[in-house]
Formats: sequence, C-alpha cells, structure tokens
Amino acid sequence: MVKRIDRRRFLRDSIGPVLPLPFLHSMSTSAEASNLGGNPVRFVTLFKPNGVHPPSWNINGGTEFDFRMSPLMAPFAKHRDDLLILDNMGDFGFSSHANSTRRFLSGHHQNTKSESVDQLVADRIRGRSTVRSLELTTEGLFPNQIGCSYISYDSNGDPIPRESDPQLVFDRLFRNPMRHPKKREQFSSVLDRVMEDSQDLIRHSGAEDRQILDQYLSVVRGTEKKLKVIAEQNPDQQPATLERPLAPANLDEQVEAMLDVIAVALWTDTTRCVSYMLGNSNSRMIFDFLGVTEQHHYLSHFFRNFSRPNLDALLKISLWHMRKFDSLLNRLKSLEDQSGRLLDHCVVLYGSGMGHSDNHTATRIPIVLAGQGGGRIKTGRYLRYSENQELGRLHLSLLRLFDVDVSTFGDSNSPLPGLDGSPFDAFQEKQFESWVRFGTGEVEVQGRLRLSEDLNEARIFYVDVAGEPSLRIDVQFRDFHHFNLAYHCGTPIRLRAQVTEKNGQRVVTKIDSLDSLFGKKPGTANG
Amino acid sequence: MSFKRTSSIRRDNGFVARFLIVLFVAGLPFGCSSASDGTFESGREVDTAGWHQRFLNEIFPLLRERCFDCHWSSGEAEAGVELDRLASADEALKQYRLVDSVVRVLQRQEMPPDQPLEKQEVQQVVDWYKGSFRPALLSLPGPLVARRLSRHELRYSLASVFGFDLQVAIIEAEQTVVEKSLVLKLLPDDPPGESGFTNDTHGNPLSESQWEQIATIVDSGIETLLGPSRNIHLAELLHLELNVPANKTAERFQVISGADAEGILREVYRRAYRRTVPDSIQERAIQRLDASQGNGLEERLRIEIKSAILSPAFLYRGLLADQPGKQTEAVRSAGVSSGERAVEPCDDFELAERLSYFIWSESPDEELLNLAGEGLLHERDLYLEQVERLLDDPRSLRLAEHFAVEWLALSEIESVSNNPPVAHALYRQPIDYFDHLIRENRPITEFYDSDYTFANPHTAKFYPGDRGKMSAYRKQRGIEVEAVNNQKLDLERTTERGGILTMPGVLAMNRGPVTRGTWMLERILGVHLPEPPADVGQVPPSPPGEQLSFRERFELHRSQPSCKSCHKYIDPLGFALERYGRDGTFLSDKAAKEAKIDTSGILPTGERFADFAELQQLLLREKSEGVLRHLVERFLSYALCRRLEWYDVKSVDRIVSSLSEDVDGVRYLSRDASFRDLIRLVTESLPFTHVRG
Repeated sequence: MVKRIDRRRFLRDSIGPVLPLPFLHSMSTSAEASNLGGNPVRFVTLFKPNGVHPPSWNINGGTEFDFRMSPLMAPFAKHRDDLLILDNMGDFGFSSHANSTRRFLSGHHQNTKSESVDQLVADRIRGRSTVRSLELTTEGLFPNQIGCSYISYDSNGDPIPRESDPQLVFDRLFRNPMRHPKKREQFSSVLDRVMEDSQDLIRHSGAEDRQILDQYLSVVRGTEKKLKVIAEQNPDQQPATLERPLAPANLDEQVEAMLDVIAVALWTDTTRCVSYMLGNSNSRMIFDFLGVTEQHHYLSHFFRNFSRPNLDALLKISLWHMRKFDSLLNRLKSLEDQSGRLLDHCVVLYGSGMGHSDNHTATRIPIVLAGQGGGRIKTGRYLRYSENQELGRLHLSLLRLFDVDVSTFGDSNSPLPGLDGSPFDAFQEKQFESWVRFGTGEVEVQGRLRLSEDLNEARIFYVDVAGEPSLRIDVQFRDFHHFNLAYHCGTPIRLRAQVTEKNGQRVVTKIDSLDSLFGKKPGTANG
Repeated sequence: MSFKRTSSIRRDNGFVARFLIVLFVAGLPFGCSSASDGTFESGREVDTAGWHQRFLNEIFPLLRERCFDCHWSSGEAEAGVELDRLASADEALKQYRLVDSVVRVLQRQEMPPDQPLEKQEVQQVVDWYKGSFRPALLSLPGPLVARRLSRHELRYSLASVFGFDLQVAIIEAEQTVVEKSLVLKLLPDDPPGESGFTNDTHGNPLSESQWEQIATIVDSGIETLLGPSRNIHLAELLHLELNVPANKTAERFQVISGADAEGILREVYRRAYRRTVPDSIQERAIQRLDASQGNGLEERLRIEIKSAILSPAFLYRGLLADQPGKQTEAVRSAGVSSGERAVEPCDDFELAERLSYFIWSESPDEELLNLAGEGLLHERDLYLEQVERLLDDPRSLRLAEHFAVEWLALSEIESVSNNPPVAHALYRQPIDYFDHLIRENRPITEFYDSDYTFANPHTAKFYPGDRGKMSAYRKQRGIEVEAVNNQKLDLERTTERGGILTMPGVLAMNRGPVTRGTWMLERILGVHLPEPPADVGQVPPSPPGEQLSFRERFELHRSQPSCKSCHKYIDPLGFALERYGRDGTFLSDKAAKEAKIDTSGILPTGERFADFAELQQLLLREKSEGVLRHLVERFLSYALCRRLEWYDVKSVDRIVSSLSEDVDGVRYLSRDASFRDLIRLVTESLPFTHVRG
C-alpha cells in the first residue's frame, strides 16, 4: 500500500526550484529491502564550514528531554522530535581548517589512511541502488590547504572528487541513457542518424577521410552495442516525470536544487549514501544574496575582526547553513514510501569539525543527528556528555548502526553510548565554591567562565561569581588564544590576572594563569 | 582502436623522385604569393633525385667511416642519432632537422669529439648541403588529413553553435580553483601531438568514452537551449529581435512551431557543419521533424539537433573540404577525372576554418562563413581584412591562452604557488603581455625585451623601482586575498625586467640554471637536446678547505665529455639568469656578491657576455635569426595543427627573411617587424592556404 505524498507541502517548504514529484508506482518495487531488513536505511551528511559563534550555537543548561534550542537552532526547532542533538563532542587541541574537515567524517585528523565513515557505510547499505554514493560540494578546490575541500575519503585515505552542479548530478542519476529506458531509446535514434549521415559523408570523402570516418563509426557502434547490452540486462524503471532542476543563479539556489536532487535520489533509491559540503572549510565565499559583502572566513574570525556588523553577518551565514539543514529535513519528511516518511529511514549527520570559529577550538563541535535510522536512533533528545567525546566514537556507533563490522575508527575504539536511548554518562554540574579576590591591579577569581551573549561585545568573556557582579574579561587575541578561553567556556576555572579600572568597573586586561577546576586541560596540539 | 593517422610520409613515398609539379596558376589564391619562392612555376619539372644520389656517393661513405661507431641504429645510437637511416631518401627528408644539425656540428668541428673532420671533408658536406639538399626541399603544402577537434576547440565551437558557453554550476570563491567549462571538466586533457600542441590531434583518435562524454555535453547544451531561458537562446539563434514586452516573450517559443523547428535545425546545421551542408543530410533531418509518428515535435527536434552536432562533420576538421584529386564516390560515379592537379588552394570554407581555429580556436563566425559561401574569402584584400578583424576581436586572446601557454609551457607557473591569487597573477602576466603584443601589433623584439610589463599587487614586489606608478589598489573591507587584474607598467628603474624571459613566473617555474637553460634552448632557440644519461648523480659538495660556488661545483661535476656536449649549450643560458632567485626575485648586488653569483658566459659559437642583459642583446642581434626562425616555426606549426616537415622549410625561410634584415652579412630580426606581420605571413603562407592531393 502506497501512501500519498502531500505535494503542496513539499512545494511550500522548498525555497528554491522544485522537482515535480515522480509517479509512485516505481517506488514500491525499486526501494527493495536491503540487508538491514525491511526498509533500507540511508545515510546523509551535511558539512557546515568554519565553525560557529559558540554562544549562538550552544544549548545552555537543559537535560536530555528538557532543553531549549539555541538561537542558531531556531530554524529547525520544529524538527525537535526528529533530532538528536549531541553536545561536548570534540577533541582537546586546536583544529586547523584542514584537520577539522578531515575530522568530520574520519573521526580524527590523523586518520588519513582509511575510508571516511560515509564510504564504509556506502558499501554496506548499497543494496540494489544504482549509484553507490554521491560526494557533493558547492565550491571549487582550495589548493592552499587541499584538505579543506574534502570530507569523503576512499580506502587509501585519498580525497574523493566532488560534484557541485545539480543539473549534472540530476542528468547523471536520472537522464543517463545507460540507465534510463526512454533516454536510451532517444540515444539509439541519435546513433542511427549519426551513422546514416556518416555513410553519406563517406560518399563525399576520399580514402583518407574514409579511414577517419570508419574509425568514428566503430566508436559509435561501440556505444550502440553497450546500449543493447544494458537494455537486456537492466529492466530498471526510473520515474520519467522528474523535471530537471533549473540552472542556479546563486549559492542558495544551487544548494536548494542540490537538496532536491539528493532527496529524490534517496527516495527513488537511486543512491543511499550522500555527503554534501555546504562550503570548504576556510571558505572565502561571499554571501551576497544575504546582503553580506565580506568573505566568510574573514567573518568567522569574529574575535580578531570584531565589529557588531561583522558578527551579524557571520550569524546570518550560520543561520543560512541551519536553514539548508532545515530544507533537507523538510524534503525528507515530505517524501514518503511504503513504510512511512523517508526521514524515518535516514540517518542525517549535520555538523562541523571545529567549535569556536576564531581560535578553532575543537570542543563543543556542532553535531546534530536527524532521522530515526529505521528505529535505531531515538530522537527528540539532547545528549550532553560529561567529557569531550571524539568524533571517532560517534562514527563507531554509526558504523554499528549500519552493521559495519569495525572495532576501531580514527583514534577511538569504543562506540558512543546513548544514540539508541542506552545509558550514557551525562554532563553534571559539580558543586564548587566561587569567589573573587582583588589586589592592586590584579585579581584572583574562581567561578564559571562564559562568553558574552551580548552580540555587541562578542569578544568579551565573564567569570560568574555567586553574589558578586560578573568579572569582565577584555583581553587581546594573544591571551584569548594562549589560555584558550573558548575551550573553558561554560566550565568552572581559577584565574589570576591583571585588572584595569574602566568606567568604574574592574576589567581583566591581561591573564597570568588559568586552570580548570575539574576538566582536562586543553591540548595545545594543532589537531 | 588501432587506427593511427596514416602518416603523410606514406603519401610521400617515392614522391620526391617522380614528382611532376603541374600547377594551374589561375587556381591559386592571391596570385599565389608563394610562387615567388622559386619552386613553384607552371609546368616546370623539378629534378629532385640528384641530391640523394650525391649524398650516397659522396657523404654517406664519410659518415659511415667516421660517425657510425657511435651513431648507428644497430649500435650505440648515442643521443638517439642513427645516421645510417639517412640512406633512405624519404627518411633523410623526414629527418631534415637531423641533416641540418649534422652539418652544423661538423662545421663547428664538434664531431667526432676526439678528431673532427678535415676542413676539406667539411667543405664537401657543406657543398652538398647547400648545393643539393636545401634546393631539394620543395615548398609544398601538406596533405589534408582530417582530425578531431581538440577539447578547447570543441568547447569554443559548441559555444558558437549554441550561442552560449556550457558552464558548470560551482561557486568561484576567492582562493579556490574551479573548472567552469563543462567541456573541459568532462573531457580528459588532450596530449600534445607531434607538434607539441594539443590542437594537433592527429595521433589521438576519438575514443568511445570521449564520444559518450561529448554526447552528455551536447545533451546538456540542448537542455539549456530549450530550457526555461529558451526565448533568449532561440531568439539569438534565429537572429530574431523579440520586440514584445518581456512578459510576452515567454509565449514566443512556448510551443515551438514547425517553421521555428525547421529554422532552428537549419541554423544548427549551418553552424555545426561550418560549410554548405550536403542536401541529402539536411533535408532528411528536416523531413524527420515532420514525421507524424512518435514523440512530439520538440522531442524530435532534440534528437535532430543532437544528431547534427554529434556528426563527424562537426567533431572533425577538414573532413568535407574539397581536396585536389579527391577520388570521391560522387566524382567517380560522374565519370569525371580529377586530373593531375596535385596542389590546390583550400576551398573557401576550409580557409575560413583554418583562420578562425588558428586565431580563435573556434569555428568560423557568420561573417567568415558568408564570405566563404560567396566565394570571396580567397581575395587577398578581403582575406587580410578578415585576419585583422579576427585579431582585433577579443577572442584572439586565445592565441595567448593556448598557443603561448603551450609553446612556452606556461601552465607550469600555476604550480609555483598554491595560493591561487598569487599563482593567477604570475600566470596571467605572460598571457596578458603576449596578448598585448598581438592586439597592439607590437614589434617582435618586445617579446624578448622591453621596458614595460603587466603587473598587479601580487607581482608588484618584483618591480620595486616602478611599482609606485601603479594605480592604487585597496581591498574592500572583509576581503582577505583576491585575484586582481593586471595593469600595464612602464619600467624605468627596474631595468632587470622586461620581456617574457625575466618574468617572475617564467623564472620561478624553471628553478635551477639547468632547467632554465634547457627551457630557453628548447622554447626560445628551438634546440632539442637528448635526454641526459641516467647516471648523472648529484652535484658534489665543495672539496674540504675550499668554498666553491654552485656554478664552480657544477662545472667540475659536468666536465666529462658526454655531459659537456649538451651542457655547453645549456649552462651559459641558465647561469646568466642566476641573479634571479628561485622564486624569480632579483638578488641585490650584496646578496649576489655573497653568493658568488657569476652570470657571465660564452656561447658555443664564441660570443661572450657579462650578464643576462648582454645575452638578451645577443639573442636580439647576432643570434636573432635562430630565435626568429623558432618563433616562426612555432606559429606555423600551431596554425597548421601539425609538425613541420621538410616541405615547410622554404615557407619558414620566406617568413624569416621577410621579418629580418641584413646587417654586415648576418640576418638580424628587424626592429620594426611586428607580431601582426608575422601572423599575416603565416596566414598567407603556402601550407596554410593550400592543400596537396
């Protein structure tokens, strides 16, 4: 029994060009049961470049079931029941752009000799889908640090070429004469005509030309033979009513069109595995269609290049990334197959490879899962782990989920608990005393460090002390980076520093030492 | 596929000995300017056999005795030289460059290395060479051999059929490298042919996978042509001016009428075939449009457009041209004898095609096709007007982007820096410079030396004394790095720069003195060296207690005779550039002194110079004939899309002599000879304007 798709809903939710829906008759036959039993589970990853402004991304407080979405999550608040938001994912050091990109699907930046998680999964879930996997992106190669341009890696750890043009991907998937009966028929007609014309041309040509034409004809006959063989072997039915996406005029249209193609490719079971980069890490893209005229990478260094308009522009860009995730989820929820919403049989991994986008801290990396993966993921929850969890552990869990038999991945050898509702070691506030002692021109303080939530002062930090006004930290980039303030955000610290009086308020202007009360020290390795 | 180009050599078999040149002067374009080179005269019989008999009698025994020990095909064949092969006349002609260099080497008493030939033996060789061999090199056009379009030509030709370039949707952010062209993205690089140019596709026939990719590309073009913007594209294709309000134009082609479909198809055929389309083919296609069975009209139109473009008539050049003596089935069945005409001017369509592919890498445009259609293109004034028009057109930039880049191997500059705006700046410098020389019709000498350049903020540091004159560049707020256009910069104080040879990118892509010397020999002087022996090893460090410069250590290292024979050519050129660091920076006097830089040298022919500036003067004066000859050969070879052969030598001679002047018995590149003079001479040359049956 095939359910009806709410076509209007699909159209309404889409921002960009929309593909009319294919006929459904093919669906019940083509989306065959895979090795995962019942309905095949698809795996989609969406990479967000250049980290985030943490206060806008992080969820403050809250528990597994009782939490409030952060400002940047607002666009997909409506998907809450289909999301599993992971917090405290990351590593201990800093992360270069290239390393953070590798980390996203390879678990660790030094995992450079093996396949990324999407590729391991692709082999396992492929089943009878025609295309093993899609590796997609939006922009060109960044040769200065080539790793910034790739999240998917093959079994040698070498980058897999990416595709960016939604029309070309569409043509390859749905209009390929080698797979599509109608196109095959059309191509055969072309071959007939070309051969007939060539015979005519032979009448007009000399012996030399005839040899060239014979060679040409043998090439054409080769293709003809290939078509025949494929026609005999491959009764594969593909929906003929899909409409080719329009040529995009800007990044937004390009991504929307690609999300259409991705959704339909998954739905028609043309492929079951997709990785898509919304941009290179380190991307210099200019989001002119959002009214932003500065380069994304420049803006992402919001501490060094701080101004309120710059931060607003950065947040606009981050919000746009979230909207694209929202768009994808809308599509996957609108499309249904014989056993329900497509999203229920998907695992969508959205995220980045770094946290704070200015000093590239590898803590609290934005990671969100969506979709129930055929019942293997329990969504509608927020998991904040007690300790930093390497992405490799998440990947191991995903590999288990997809029945890929791997015992270690990246730097990790135990899977991340909790995705399926199993118990996990949740973050817990520990009791500590907070106090502040001022000396002449200096201060010693113990309290919780936080980054200002006031966007007018996004480079300012505070230490909260019970019963006292928060101590304002206004330091140069050197101290911010050296003591890794971004890493310690949200946690209790002890700080010794020099203070200066500004407008009757004592402000930390130089840090002498900073220690974490409970947590591990941040690494300094460039990882 | 085992098909290989049936080489023109096979056609030449025995050709020389019995060739009777019978020309019909009336049939030649522009009164056959090439007739003036003496070998082309109506009804004159040229005895071409004598030279080889004389070779076998007088020269070959000498070579056998003195040279075969090292240069014999069944023996050592040092440096790949196999002199015994010259026993065959065809082979000797084919290897005319070898004959040239043998004579040169003997004249300079360089060979045999231990005991050169006696003076009078050398004289005997020279007499034969000048008296018999050179005169035997007849001036003839090449046979017309069809070849597939290169991927660059295909890209531009498809753009001229469709009216738009086929592009890939990808965001071109700063510092990224993208391939926007669909054709270049989907088709593999063409390997350079025997000429060294990728437009020489003779040795690389179409493969099945290439063909299928082209079919995909054509599909994509048709989708765009008949896609949502069809009004714009179809109106342009059909030369319609849609003078209706913007919202109404949407209706013009919403349903394509039968008349429109026919018009579209005829236009596609005209552009794709680049000549009069055989009636049988076009009419059949149009009839199929009318066919009532099957799909709708639009679907049928798609199939017909695709078939027209995938036709060999589009994908190959020179396929349908009228060839002299062409024994086509049509001619045979009509019982018409093609007669004895062996050399003939190209038909006008072929001429139009040669011109536009040479200058634009693209199919002829409407104006050229119309002139060809009216049979007017071979009229000299009109023809030369067209040459100028094509050069004035922005598309002539492709001469710089393809010809200059391939000739000078400039694409290697792109790997000099992995920061794309910097690499782009270094790469565009010689391209913009070369384009300027052609567009502004500058003297040829300026290619080698000049007092201006093209620079942008990324390359400005190489011109410290003059960069102040550049118009100010300010990055917009929020932009970290970006590519910037070049501007012309007069060099008053940066005297160490000027011309292509001292451009930072060119210097940086050839890092050491050996690669720089080799590059200059091969690309500027046209001297080809054999591969170095495999066991050359490393340049050793200074002996204990001595502080030798790299040059001194290197000279010790390569002092063996087998190294020396090549390095005496390479090293003076390469070390002359030692003042320029690995990245192309010019070293200060102090730094040069500290590094014991010695830029002086002696050419194998004896000329001395103190530094690169003096060497540059030698290249432009005493050595300029060789430099010019190579330039002419490269231009001609690119224009003909093939390697030059013995029968092109005279044409090259003629162009060289037109562009040079006699100074005290030595040919010097004329100061006023310009790039357009050179291009015009190439486009008027016999091999460019004629074909041989």
